[in-house]
Amino acid sequence: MEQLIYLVAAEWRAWRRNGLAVALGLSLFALIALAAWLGTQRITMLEAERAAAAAADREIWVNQGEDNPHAAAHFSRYAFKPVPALAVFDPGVLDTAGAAIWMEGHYQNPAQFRLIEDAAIGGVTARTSPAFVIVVFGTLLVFVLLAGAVAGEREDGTLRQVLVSGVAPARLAGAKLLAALVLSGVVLIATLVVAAAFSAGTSAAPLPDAGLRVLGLIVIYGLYFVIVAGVALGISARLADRRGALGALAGLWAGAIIAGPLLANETALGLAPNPDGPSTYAKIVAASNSYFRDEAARREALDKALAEYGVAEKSALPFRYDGYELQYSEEVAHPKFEAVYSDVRAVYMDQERILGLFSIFLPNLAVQKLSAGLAGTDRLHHAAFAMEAEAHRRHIVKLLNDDLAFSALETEGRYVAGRALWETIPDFQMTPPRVDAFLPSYLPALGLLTVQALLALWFARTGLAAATRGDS
Amino acid sequence: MIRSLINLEIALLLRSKVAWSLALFAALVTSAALLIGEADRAQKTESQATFLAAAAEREAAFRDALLQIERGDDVSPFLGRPMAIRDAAVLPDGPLGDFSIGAGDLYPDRVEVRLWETSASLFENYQFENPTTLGLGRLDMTTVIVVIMPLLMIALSFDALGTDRQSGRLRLLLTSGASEQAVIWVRLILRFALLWLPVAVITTGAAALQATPPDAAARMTAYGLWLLGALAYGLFWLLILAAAVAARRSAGQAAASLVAVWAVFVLIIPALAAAIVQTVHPSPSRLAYLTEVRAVASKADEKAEGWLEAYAIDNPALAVEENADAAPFRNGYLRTMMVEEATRPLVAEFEEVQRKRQSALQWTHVLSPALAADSYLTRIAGGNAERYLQFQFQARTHLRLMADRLGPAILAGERISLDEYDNEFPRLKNRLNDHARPDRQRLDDVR
Repeated sequence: MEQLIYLVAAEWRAWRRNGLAVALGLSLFALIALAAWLGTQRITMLEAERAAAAAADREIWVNQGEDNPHAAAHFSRYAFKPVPALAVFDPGVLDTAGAAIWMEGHYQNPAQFRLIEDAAIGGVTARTSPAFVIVVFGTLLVFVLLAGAVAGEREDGTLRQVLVSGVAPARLAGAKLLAALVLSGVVLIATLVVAAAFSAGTSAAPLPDAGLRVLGLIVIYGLYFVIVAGVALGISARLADRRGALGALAGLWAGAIIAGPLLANETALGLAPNPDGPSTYAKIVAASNSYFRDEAARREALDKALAEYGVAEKSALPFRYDGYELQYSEEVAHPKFEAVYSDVRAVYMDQERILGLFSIFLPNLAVQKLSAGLAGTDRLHHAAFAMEAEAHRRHIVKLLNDDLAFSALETEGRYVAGRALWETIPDFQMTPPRVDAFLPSYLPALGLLTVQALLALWFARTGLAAATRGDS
Repeated sequence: MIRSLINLEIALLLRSKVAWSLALFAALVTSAALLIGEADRAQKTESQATFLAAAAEREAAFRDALLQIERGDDVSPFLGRPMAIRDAAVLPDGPLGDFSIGAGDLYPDRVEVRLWETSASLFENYQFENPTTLGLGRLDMTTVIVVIMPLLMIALSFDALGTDRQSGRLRLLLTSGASEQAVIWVRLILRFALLWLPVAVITTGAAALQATPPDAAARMTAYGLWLLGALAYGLFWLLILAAAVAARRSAGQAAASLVAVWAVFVLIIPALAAAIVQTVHPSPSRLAYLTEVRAVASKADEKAEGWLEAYAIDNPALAVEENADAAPFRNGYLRTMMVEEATRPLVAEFEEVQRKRQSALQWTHVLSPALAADSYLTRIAGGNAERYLQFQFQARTHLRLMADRLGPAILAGERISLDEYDNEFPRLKNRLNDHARPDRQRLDDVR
C-alpha cells in the first residue's frame, strides 16, 4: 500500500514539475471560476427579468378593464419558463429554447424569445459554462498530463529503471491508473464545488430533487473522466514516445470534442431536417381555423347542442351559444394541435436518436445530454414546460369561454366582464419536474457511459500491462 | 541551397502518410461543409418559394376583390379593405449562401407585412427548430476555416523541427549550409500549401459552379474576398506555428503550446468577448419589451372609444368616417398605430444597443483573429446576423410606410383602387432590392 501511495505521489510530482501542465491546470480552474461567476450573473438577471415579467403580466391582466371574455382570451397571458439554479453549471438549451409562451385563445404557440437571438457573438466559439469548460478543457488537461505517463518514461528509460528497482509491473500500472483517476477526480470536484457555490448565490428556482441531481452529475462526470483517463493512459502505454502519444491524444481531442459533435449534428440534421418554422405555424393556424371555416361542422355542433338541451332555436338554449361554440372549437382544435406538435417531436426524437448513435464513439455527447438533463435545462425539461403551459392555456381559455357562455345571461347586447373575472384566472405556476420522470430517456446514455468507462479501464490496463511487461 | 532543401522537403512530405491523411481530411471536410451549405440553401429556397406562392394566391384574391368592386359587383362590405393588404417578402440568400449558414438557422427570412400586426408581432412563432441541435452548432465553411483548419495545421506542423532537433538530424541538415530559420519556413510553407491547396481548389470549384447570371460576378467577387480573408487567417496561424516551433525544444511542448494557443484564440477569447460585450452593452430585456407592448395594447383596447376623437383632433385634415362596416378596420388600424407609437422608443433602444454592440465587437477582433475571421467570412458570405436584423428593420419601416399610405383610406372607410394597388402601393421586395445594392457597397467597404 505504501509503495502504491509513493508511486501515485511520484506521478503527481512529475506533473508538478511540468510547467506547461501547471499553467494549463491553473488556467482551467480560473476558467471554471470565471464561467461559474458569469453564469451566476446571467442566471440571476434572467430570473429577475422572469419574475418581473410574470408580475407585470398579472398586473396588466387584472387591470385590462372591462372586455368581452373572448377578447380577453385572445389577449390572454404568458407563461414564463422558470430558470433552474443548476443552469449556472450547465445552461443546456436555455439559450436556444424560448423563454415564454403566449397562452393565446385558439392557438398553441411555440416558445418565443430565444436568448441566442440577442447574443453578442453566436456560433460554436462563444460558449462559456462550467459544464462546457470541464468537458472541453478538462479533457485537454488530462490528455496533456497523461500523454507522457508511460510513453515518456519509456522514452527516457525511467520505466525500465523503476521496474528493475523491484516494483511489480501490475502495481506500477495500478499506480498510474490511480494517479490519473485522482487527477480527474480533482478536476471534477473542483468544478462542481465552484459551480455549486455560485448556484447557491442565485435567486433561481432550486429543483425539488437537487441533491439527487448533483449526485447524478458527480456520477456521470466521474464516469466521463474515467473514460478520458483510461483512453489517455491506454494510448500513452501503446505508443513509443511522448510526441506520438501527445499527437494522437491531441488529434483525438480535436476529433471527438471539437469536430465530432459538429459532424454528429450535421448527420442528424441531414437525415431528419428541422421543421420549417413558418410552414409549421401555418399548420397551427389552419388547425385553429378549420372549425370556423367548416359550415357543416358548425351546423353539426349547433344541432348537437339543440338536441342535448331539447330546444329548436339557438336563442332558446340556456347559455350564450357564442361562448359554447368557441369552447367547442377549441376542443376540436386540440387533437389537431397535438398532431402538429407530435410531428415536430418525432423529428426531434429522430435527431436525438442519431446523436445517441454518435455518442457510442463520442462520450462527450452522452455526458452533454445527461448533464443538461440533470441540470434541468435539456429539451425534455423545456418540453415539460411547454406541455404545462398548454394545459394551463386550455384551462384559462375554458374558464373565459365558460364565463361568456354561462354568466349574466340576462345582459342585453355585448357581454363584458371585468376585474372580478380576471382575478379568478390563475397565474401559470410550474412545479419543476423530478429527474426520475425522464429516466427512460436518460438510462441508455448512462448505460453507454458505464460501458465506455469499463472499456476505457480495460484499454488502459491491457496497455499498461503490455508496456510494463515489455520493459521488465 | 534553398531549392535543394525545398526538393528534399517535398520528397519527404510526399512520402508522409500523415501529411496525405490530413490533406485528404481537409478536402473531405471542405466538401462536406459545402454540400451541407448547399443543401441548407436549397431547403431555404424551396420554403421561400412555397411561402411566396401562397402569398401570391392571397394577393390574387385581393386583386380579384378590387376588380369586382370596380366592376360594381355586389360584394361583402368587408372585402377588399386596405387592412386586408398583405405584402410578402423574403430575404434572399447572400452571395455565398452555401459558404455560411451563420445566423440563417436563428432568424426568420420571410415576412408578411399587414396592418393588423405591430412591430412586435411581425416576426413571431417561427421558433420550431430543435433547441438541442441549434446549440451544437453547424459545420459550414466558416467553421472549417476558423476552427478546424488551424487544428489541422497544428497537427501537420507541430513537429516541423522538434524531433529532428532532439535526434541531431537538424545539426546534420544545418551543416549543408541552410539556416534553422530557412528550414522552419520551408517546412511550414510546404505543409501550409499541402493543406490549403485542396481547400482553395474545392471552394473555387464550388463558387464557380454555383455562379449563375445575373449574380455570377457578385458571387465571384465575394468569393475572391472570402478566399483572401481565409488565407490571411491561415497565414496568421503559420506565424504562430513558426514562433512555437522555433521557441519550443521538443515536439511535444510545441504541440501542447499550440493547442493551448488555439483554445485561447478560438474558444476562450470569443466566449469572454461575448460575455464582456453583453455586460458592457446588455441587450434590453425582451420580456420587458413584451410587457410594455402588452400594457400599451391593453390600454389601447380600453381607450378604443376615445381613439377616433383623439385621432381627429391630432389629424384635422383627415376625414374619419363613422361607417359601421369600416369600424373594425379603423379600430384595428388605430390600435396598431397606438402600440407602434408607444413602443417605438423601445425598438429604437434595441437598435441602438445592437449598433453599439457591433462597434464594441470590432474592438474584440483585435484580441482574437479567430473572431475577426469568423465575422469577416460570415459577413462576406451573407450569413451574418446584422443582415437578418436589417431585414427585420426594413419590414418594420415598411409597416410604417404602409400605415402612412393606407391610413387615410382606412379612416375614411374607403378602399384603394386596383390601379393604386398595382402601381402606387410601396412594396417591401422593392425596398429590399434597393437595399441589396448596398450589399455590393458593403463588399466595397470590406475591400
